[in-house]
Amino acid sequence: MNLSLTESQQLLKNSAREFLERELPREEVRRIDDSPNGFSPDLWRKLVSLGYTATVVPEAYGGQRTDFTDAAVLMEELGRALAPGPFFSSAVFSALIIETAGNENQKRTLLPEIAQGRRIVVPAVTEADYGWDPEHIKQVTATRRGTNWVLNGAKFFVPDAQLADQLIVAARTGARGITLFLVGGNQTGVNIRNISGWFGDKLNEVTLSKVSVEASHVLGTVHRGWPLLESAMEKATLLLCSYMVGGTGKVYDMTVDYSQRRIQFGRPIGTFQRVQDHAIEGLNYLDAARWLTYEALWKLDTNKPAKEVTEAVSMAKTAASEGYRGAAGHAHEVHAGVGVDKETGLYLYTKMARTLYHYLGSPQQHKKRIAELLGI
Amino acid sequence: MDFEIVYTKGQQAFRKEVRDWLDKNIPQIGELPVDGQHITPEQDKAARAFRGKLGEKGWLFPTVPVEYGGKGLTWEHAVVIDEELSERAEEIPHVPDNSSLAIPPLLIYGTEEQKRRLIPPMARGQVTTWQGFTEAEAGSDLAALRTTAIRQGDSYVINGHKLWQGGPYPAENWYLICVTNPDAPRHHNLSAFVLPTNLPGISMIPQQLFVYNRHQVFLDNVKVPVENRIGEEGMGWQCVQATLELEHGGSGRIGLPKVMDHFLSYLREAKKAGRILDALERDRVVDMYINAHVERLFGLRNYWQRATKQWGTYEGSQLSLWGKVQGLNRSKTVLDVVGPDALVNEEDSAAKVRGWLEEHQRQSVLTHPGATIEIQKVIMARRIAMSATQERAAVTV
Ligand SMILES: Cc1cc2nc3c(=O)[nH]c(=O)nc-3n(C[C@H](O)[C@H](O)[C@H](O)COP(=O)(O)OP(=O)(O)OC[C@H]3O[C@@H](n4cnc5c(N)ncnc54)[C@H](O)[C@@H]3O)c2cc1C
Repeated sequence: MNLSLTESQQLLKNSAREFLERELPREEVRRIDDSPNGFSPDLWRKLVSLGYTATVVPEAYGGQRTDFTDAAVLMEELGRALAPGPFFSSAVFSALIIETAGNENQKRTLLPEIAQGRRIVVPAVTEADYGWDPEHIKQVTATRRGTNWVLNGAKFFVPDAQLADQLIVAARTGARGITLFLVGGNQTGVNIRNISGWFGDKLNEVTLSKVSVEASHVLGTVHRGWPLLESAMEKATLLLCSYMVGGTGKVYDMTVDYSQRRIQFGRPIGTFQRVQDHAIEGLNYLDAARWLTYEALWKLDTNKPAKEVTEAVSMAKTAASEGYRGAAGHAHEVHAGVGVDKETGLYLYTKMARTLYHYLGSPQQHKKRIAELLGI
Repeated sequence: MDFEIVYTKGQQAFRKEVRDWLDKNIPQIGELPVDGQHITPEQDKAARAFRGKLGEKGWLFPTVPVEYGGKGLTWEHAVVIDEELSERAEEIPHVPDNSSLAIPPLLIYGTEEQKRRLIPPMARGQVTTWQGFTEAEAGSDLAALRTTAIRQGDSYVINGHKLWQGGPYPAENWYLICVTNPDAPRHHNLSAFVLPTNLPGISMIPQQLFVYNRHQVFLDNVKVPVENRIGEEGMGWQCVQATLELEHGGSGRIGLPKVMDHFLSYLREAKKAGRILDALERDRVVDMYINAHVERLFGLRNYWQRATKQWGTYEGSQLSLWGKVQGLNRSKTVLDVVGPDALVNEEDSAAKVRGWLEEHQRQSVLTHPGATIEIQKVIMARRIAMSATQERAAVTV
């Protein structure tokens, strides 16, 4: 048993933190957040040159993957710095889907491009009737026409689609089947509309009207897309949890730091027990999510039985969703008026916590899955 | 990271040895009551005898050095014993004993002679120990205690009154904190003692509780030799700290809170009988399950930190706080989901899962031993640098 990071993980953590504090200060996050497409080409180039975008891609396909815990260490720092979306969408989630579902040819073409940041690939899964299970994939359909497929319908709440060179679209291909398709972001019939709202990443509606896709752009087996997607999603979910834990940690640090600096009634507000309660709640949320996530990563990396991994992932995501949102709430109580001011930047975390709350499965959905596994 | 103890061949063999030994030595005294309160004097006697055997083997306090009555084992071996004992916890009557809290200050501050004299009876399971801290005026504010031990020649003469001592049956040994210098400033006026409870001048009356009973104990001119004071005079507060660091969660623990298993068994049975949880109930039960796992992980983290001598800051109190708060939350979930059946005790044939849920309803209210929820937060605040008082974890072993 050893619950500390390895030396190399600690090095990665330190260098990532240093880099991100320098290159992605709060003002820059705000600038990117306020920009129409939520993207900084400059930051992206740097993330690529450090090899970060190659972290999840296996070596055989031009990446540098060691294990998931290593990747999680980086994700935690990215989350702490609020590194914007396409990193997760492309270099993590899509990379894992392609690795799991793609044929050799697709993997050889796409994965190196993703690892080198030359191509941004974005999964488009959820629909207006939101949910991360097969029952909620019904609006977008694909039907055969000759050797091609024709896709119709709309995906909703798709992060980063505005940047996608390619989308991975999960489409209904029959009563019991879901199939994954690679669709060009600028392909005829694809329309991407930014949804206006209080989001941490840019979320989009992706409308597909008579989009024609060649058979060679099917990812994985026809009708069998869901289990493939689910298997990739399990790993991606854990890395998302780490990203969320990173943000939760920052929000907690801001809480303690502010409570030490803000003087009222002639003393730092942190010396009031009611204020301390908020910080302690935040810390408990943080540690709960962090340890559930680390343990789940360890189960994944050491190939524990599938059911055990699934349960661990669902526990981690529940705690990460509830913890990030909860800790941000306590941070607002302690910051009071100052926390509402955009200058403080707390709101960037607050809305990110909410944006990721349902992403890859809401707490409710994950709890339902745990209950099934427990047989209750 | 590695969340599992990877057992060497040697440890696996050791586990077998422990198992075989337990098979042979766990007393066959019939099904134990759910409520420790209902343990009969015969069962208590058998439990103490078993404890004595465990101590003789050196497995009661396996990491304590051999010369002090332990086995001098590494924690990797000790954990095997912990796991095997907790596996069979419901077969072994609980014997209330706070020796685990008295040994650390002796190891840190005791003289060699004291370690050889005072630790072995505890380590060998020949005596059980009371933790003599709390008084009528000194609960959370322990440093306000008033029991005095005044030096007279080679002895101290003790006068005062302690509350909440031990369990239904008296202990033989006492780890006691007293004021030895009434004129010294707070925290510098105290000393710690280890003494037998059968000295002249010690009398007790039971404290009737809705959980395990305790005793109020009176000290009337009790004479204790100077050699029974731990460390120098005035070092009492350091001894207390070494103890409380562990009691407040620093010792960690292994495994899920046991009520979880009982509740899940109840729910599976109920499901077979056609009771389907609605979505809200299901979410709450799973919340309880997840939070129990968080408790297990906090416990494991602290266990590992202690074993590897990495003293953290807030982690001990975090475990304690989490366990107490979740205990309360769990009891509400159980009450809501199970209904009044959750209050039927083991005496009644209608009791579900042998009455464990009723026992939990009572136990969960008990958030006060080893410092209240609020006090755990006070300690955490000090250790995350918010409070005006700032501190790190206390020195302990
Ligand atoms: C079943 C049981 C077993 C026990 N076993 C032992 C034992 O073996 N040995 C022993 O010595 N003692 C034992 N105790 C005593 C236990 O340690 C005390 O009950 C505990 O420390 C709280 O003290 P109190 O009950 O006097 O509460 P009080 O200190 O009077 O507290 C009352 C309330 O005030 C709050 N409060 C007090 N100070 C503060 C503060 N600074 N900030 C915020 N809130 C505050 C408390 O949190 C609580 O809510 C036991 C108690 C119980 C119930």
